Amino acid sequence: MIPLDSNISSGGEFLLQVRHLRTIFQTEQGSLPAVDDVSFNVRRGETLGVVGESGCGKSVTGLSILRLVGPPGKIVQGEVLFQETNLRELSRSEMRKVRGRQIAMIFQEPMSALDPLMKIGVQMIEGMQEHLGYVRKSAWKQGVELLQRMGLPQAAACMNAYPHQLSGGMCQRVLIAMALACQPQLLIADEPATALDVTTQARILDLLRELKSEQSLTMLMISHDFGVIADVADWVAVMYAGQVVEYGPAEQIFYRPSHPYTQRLLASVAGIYSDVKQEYLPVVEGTVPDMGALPSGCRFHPRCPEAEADCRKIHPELFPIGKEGASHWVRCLKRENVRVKPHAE
Amino acid sequence: MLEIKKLYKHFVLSRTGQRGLGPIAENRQMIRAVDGVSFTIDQGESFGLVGESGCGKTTLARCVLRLLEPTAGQIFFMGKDFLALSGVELRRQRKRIQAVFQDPYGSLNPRMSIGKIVEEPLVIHHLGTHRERKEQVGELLHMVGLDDKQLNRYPEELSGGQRQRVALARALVTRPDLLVADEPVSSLDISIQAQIVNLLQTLKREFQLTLLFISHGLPIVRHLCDRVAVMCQGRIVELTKTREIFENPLHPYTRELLEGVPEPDPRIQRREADQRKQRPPRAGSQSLGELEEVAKDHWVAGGIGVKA
Repeated sequence: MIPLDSNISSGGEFLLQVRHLRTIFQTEQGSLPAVDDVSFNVRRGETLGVVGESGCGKSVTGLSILRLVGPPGKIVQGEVLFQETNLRELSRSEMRKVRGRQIAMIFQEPMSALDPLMKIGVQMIEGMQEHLGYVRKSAWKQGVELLQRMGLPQAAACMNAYPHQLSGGMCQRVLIAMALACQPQLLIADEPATALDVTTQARILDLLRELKSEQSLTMLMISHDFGVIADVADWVAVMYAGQVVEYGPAEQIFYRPSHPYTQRLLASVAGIYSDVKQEYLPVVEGTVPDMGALPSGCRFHPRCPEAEADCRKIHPELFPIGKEGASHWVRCLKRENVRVKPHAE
Repeated sequence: MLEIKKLYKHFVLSRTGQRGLGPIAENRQMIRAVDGVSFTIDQGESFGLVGESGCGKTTLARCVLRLLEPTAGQIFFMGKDFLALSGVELRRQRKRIQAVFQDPYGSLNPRMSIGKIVEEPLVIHHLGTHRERKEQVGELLHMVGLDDKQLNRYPEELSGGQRQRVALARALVTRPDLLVADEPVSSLDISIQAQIVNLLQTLKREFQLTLLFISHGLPIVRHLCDRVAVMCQGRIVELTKTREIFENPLHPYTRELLEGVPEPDPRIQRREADQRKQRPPRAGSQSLGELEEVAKDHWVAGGIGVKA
């Protein structure tokens, strides 16, 4: 087990450090490790993109950070260090002060994340009243300003509207505004643009990028879409079957992917966008394994064209590759040859 | 092979529906889901229909399948007036037009086994003896990449990708001439999307299919289709060869659609974001006039790109 220690960074302060996080779900099939030994860092002012297919554990990772995983799920191991505080050790009431105030989260389906029976405005000001002690009037005023900043036309009218009266894109702007209302240090965005149309999606991403550069907002962006990740992420963690299989700076992951899964998945996505009209797309054969019946050894080996006998037996660890200090980590036995050699003491 | 002429489908809203639109959406009594759409699809061609949600593309597909009756306009299928058909004759033609839908969970009967689901169209159209039907079903399942083990399973036991394969087998078992595919991959995972796109490519050739492929995303259309029509607010705003759409998009809405697609390449994304920043925001409505041919086989709405 390797901690992602300080050699992964070249200066800069970590706002969030996740260490060997393990979240299991107790089901009839036994305990399923939805998140299994996940570690990563998020530096202040930067965005970490967590990417993977459905069921790979990326959403549960986001929820685990905020301790929002309910039964039958349970966080059983690991640390979530937020500004040096281990969130797993906080009491419930202390945790309540973190949620929404220090770390805010936005969810995939904007329409269902809002209460249909409450006016937008009333939902907007809840957090500000709770965490910042604003009185209703000033919170409301602040709410209108926030909505304007998010680029919503008729912000004042929106505050008095109900969620069903707004479009999906408008609801997502409301949610982002709500998440930012208490000026959190970290924003966890779980598929914030997935349910939206292409043009709306582009505008939401523009908005997030703007917030990032203007207010140096730190973000954890969860998405299945490599395009969205390419758009906003400085760092990328690729997840497969509950584990991080590759981790590094965005440019490394996109232009020099190392893990066979990342390589092939990117090729199949890039194929769709490529200028050359190939008849057949490169694909990753097979399907994501069932959490209840994980393959032995490397979890990707049944789908991996490079797999050898060892891959079926040995479960690889996440280790650094390339030049020393390149901060590129991979979980694959076939990449041992490029592993960074530990210093001889 | 398929000719659509000035097709309209309007929905009249009930009073409750109007109330629901509330103070922000403008109050409309009628939704013009499809508003005067015309195009033709040739034998063996793959035709892509692209647009954002609510642009009317699914309504159009439902009209082609006659799951909805159009308000006005004509549809000709193999030279026959498809909308005038009824009874036995309609049933006979319907066998030749089959469909695959977006949601592979909602489109398969959960109480029927996979074998029964794929066999059903043959039963409905009285095709073949019992044994012939069983053979056909086995053959089709094999072609879509499923094996005999799946025959007696139920939809709930299959993954989304496998279900979409079943839906494809069911659609092709009557050997249709035209396949209407309404967002067949958009609810699937990326690695599975590529698999289904490749499968469609193979099946297209094997069955000499004519394909009406509906999608909200342009990239996948690029792979499968020969020509593309871009729809916006119930109308077609641009229609041309696939290559042309990507290399020389003329309508501003088409451009916006193309630029909006997040590509898996950080450098391209950054460049496009900068471009968006420099351009003034889109003026409210799009130019949605009549289509005009501005170059050979390149049609654009609203007099854009017409040489003076």
